[in-house]
Amino acid sequence: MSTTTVSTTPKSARPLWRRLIGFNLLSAVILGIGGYYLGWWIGHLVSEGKSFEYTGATNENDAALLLAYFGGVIGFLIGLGFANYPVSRMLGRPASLREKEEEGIGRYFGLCTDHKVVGIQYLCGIGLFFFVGGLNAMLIRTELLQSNPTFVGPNQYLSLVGEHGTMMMGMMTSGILGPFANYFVPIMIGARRMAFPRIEALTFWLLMAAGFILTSTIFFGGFPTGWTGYEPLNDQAVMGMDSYICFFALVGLSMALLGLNMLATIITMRAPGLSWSRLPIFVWSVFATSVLMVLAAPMLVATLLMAALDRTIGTSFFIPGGGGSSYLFQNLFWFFGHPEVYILALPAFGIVLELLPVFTRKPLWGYRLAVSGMLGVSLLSFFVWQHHLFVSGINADLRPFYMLSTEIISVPTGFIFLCVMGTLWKARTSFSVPMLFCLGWAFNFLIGGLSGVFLSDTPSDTDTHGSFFVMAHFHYTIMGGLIFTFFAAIYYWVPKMVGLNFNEKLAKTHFWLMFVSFNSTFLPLFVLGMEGMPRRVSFYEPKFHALNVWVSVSAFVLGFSMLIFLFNTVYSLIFVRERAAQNPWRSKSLEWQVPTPVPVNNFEQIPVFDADPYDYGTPLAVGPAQPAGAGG
Amino acid sequence: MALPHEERPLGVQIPRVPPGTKIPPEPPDVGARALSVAARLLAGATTFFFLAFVFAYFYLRSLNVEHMWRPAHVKPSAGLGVAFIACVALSAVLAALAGRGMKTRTPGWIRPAWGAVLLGLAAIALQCVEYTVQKFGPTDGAFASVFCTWTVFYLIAVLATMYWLETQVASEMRASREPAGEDGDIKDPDRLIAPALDAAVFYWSYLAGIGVITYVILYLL
Repeated sequence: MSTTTVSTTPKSARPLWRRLIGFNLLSAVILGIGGYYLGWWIGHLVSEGKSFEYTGATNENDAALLLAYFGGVIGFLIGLGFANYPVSRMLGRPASLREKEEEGIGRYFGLCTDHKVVGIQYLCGIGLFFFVGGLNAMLIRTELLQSNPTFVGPNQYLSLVGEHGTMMMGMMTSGILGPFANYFVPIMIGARRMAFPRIEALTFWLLMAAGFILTSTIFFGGFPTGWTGYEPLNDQAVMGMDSYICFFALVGLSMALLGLNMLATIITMRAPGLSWSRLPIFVWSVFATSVLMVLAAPMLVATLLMAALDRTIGTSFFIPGGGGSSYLFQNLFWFFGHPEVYILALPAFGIVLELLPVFTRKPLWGYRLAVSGMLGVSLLSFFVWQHHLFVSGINADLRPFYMLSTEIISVPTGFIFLCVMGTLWKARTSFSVPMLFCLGWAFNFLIGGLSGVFLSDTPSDTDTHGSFFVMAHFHYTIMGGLIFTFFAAIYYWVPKMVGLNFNEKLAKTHFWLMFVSFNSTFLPLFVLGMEGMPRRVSFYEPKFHALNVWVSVSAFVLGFSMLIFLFNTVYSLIFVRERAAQNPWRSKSLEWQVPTPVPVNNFEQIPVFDADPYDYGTPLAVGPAQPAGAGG
Repeated sequence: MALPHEERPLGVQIPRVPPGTKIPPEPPDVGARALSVAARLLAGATTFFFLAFVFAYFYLRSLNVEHMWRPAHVKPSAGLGVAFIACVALSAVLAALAGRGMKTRTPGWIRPAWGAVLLGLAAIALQCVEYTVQKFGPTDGAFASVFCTWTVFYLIAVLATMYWLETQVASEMRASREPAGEDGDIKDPDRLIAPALDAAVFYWSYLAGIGVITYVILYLL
């Protein structure tokens, strides 16, 4: 049998000039800038003398900016080398799987098809934009220290709110799937790669391009709509709105491709013996999330394309004067937007359920119930979107249906909690850092979930809609749910990914400070919301001042807890560099059985599963190996 | 205190891989399965993408805001529309014939495959002609907005699918005169051409179905 070696030419064998002029981040940036200016130039050329909205009148040219972004992204991707393979396939060259899976730091700065490299790229890239979004939150809370805006002013405040929300909602959709599912799903299912490695790399670089585009909105006046991009404000906004549109369209594209790749991998590349009933629960959560990504994200992309065309060539999807309706945007956006909430929540469920058996040394209680809960949430999330329109644009007769469907979704979510409680029951729990974050999730998500029931109820929603109550609710579900499990996953899996340990004392300090300050920040917002303080408004009544100061100070402490995490990362992973054991948590799942760091091809021989993944009462669920090349 | 079964050494079931270990090329059936599933998932994603336009069509039509749904002069050319959808349907039929021929190793399947690609491109050209002769633009009311945008994105989807079909035809032509070597990371990559064509044909048939629905909604309703 013919064979091929794992690693390609060693990097050092190529001269420096050759490495610099190849397809890498440097050429990507150069071509990206070139593409941007080319698009800008074409945009001005085609809009010359045309009646494109705003052009000339306010010295704004949305068409030019959108084309510039488009050209920039295309140039960036070509510079990274994403056009090479499609062109070679068009010329009839044979299919191949791997690209640039070489050793060395350079593989992290370009197109690399190793799923482990992509996972680490995602972790660093998303981490960067998470901190940018967090910085926006700090500025928002600084502004709210006063009841009269003094720090940044009302318009800039709105932009900050929009950038914070959009960055967090857009980037964190891939917060778990990007780093952890890309890295661990193939290993957990006994595969050597993702189904489509180039698409996997593409999803990451699209997301990075999107992040920089959103950040660039500050050069074009920002956007006043918040993360939802509502019409008609969307259509009336300055060019900064184009950054929002382009950002979310790229995020939607990246999301749909990521979901498609995950589903194809999970469906087709499982190792022998890994039946659906033996699939690790984290993989199930990725599966349920990916279904939502594949189906909901295209709707978002279509909606944003409509909005872009309304702003540029004068179509009238959302402009009443031309026969459009701004309510159409609300419907289409929330058809994506509500599944989006579960795109954020489901992977968090998966992480908690994956980690609990390890730290309680018990089998997962109610495996099938948990799976049905996640699939139930996934399915029902398509039938609830109109509850976002309870106070606008919905036929009153439809309200009971959407109220009921929204309340019903708490049933499968309750299944997840039941499984968590069942697993914790009479357990010999080890309160390691990842476990602490999981318990933090349980506390926070319970509050978020219960407050969600109030919001699903039409009368109480009518009262609290658009208030800080809603903001407190979704921060409890998304930050309290997703971000806590994001950190649980970091402390649990990063030692495997990089082969180094975190400092545990610092990690525990991070958790406790984050947990206390998070609750201290967001619990009072329920009160403010009930008292009538609206979202997205920097002015507020003086009677809310004391509570707002409390919240702001708590938010600064929350921000400080992130700095502790950052310090721990730098201190532990760069300076101390304490080697991690191969399986420090004594986990029985497959990713912990491979060496640290994980080899390029994961397994020399594809493993065979012959037991359930959480069977802590029996030997490891991995049997003898199959002949080489049998799968994966 | 840990139970005895938990103290069992872990990690011995998976052999360690020393750096530079030779891994055999992957069998082509792994990629074939992935392509088949991906084509179906892509069809799902495409459905939801165009569902946004279907929703917009019926939503705006039912509202008819300021009677601007469809001014009297907004009439897409029925003749060009029929020609467009006929090209799409015929191309999908030819692609299906090519796929069947490839499966049964019938010689000459490449001709219907080329025919499918050319007809797909002809459909795109016809729609572009329609844009130049029609008496309305995207700014002429809600229907015109939906019509122009929906058809443009449909054309982009058709173009991408034609690229997909072309890669398989080009691969087959190359394979017939110069079979792929054994030095790649897929064992006998030319065996992937048939399943890849099958996946492309499935997707193209599905997209053609969406095209027929598009035609009915935009031209007949």
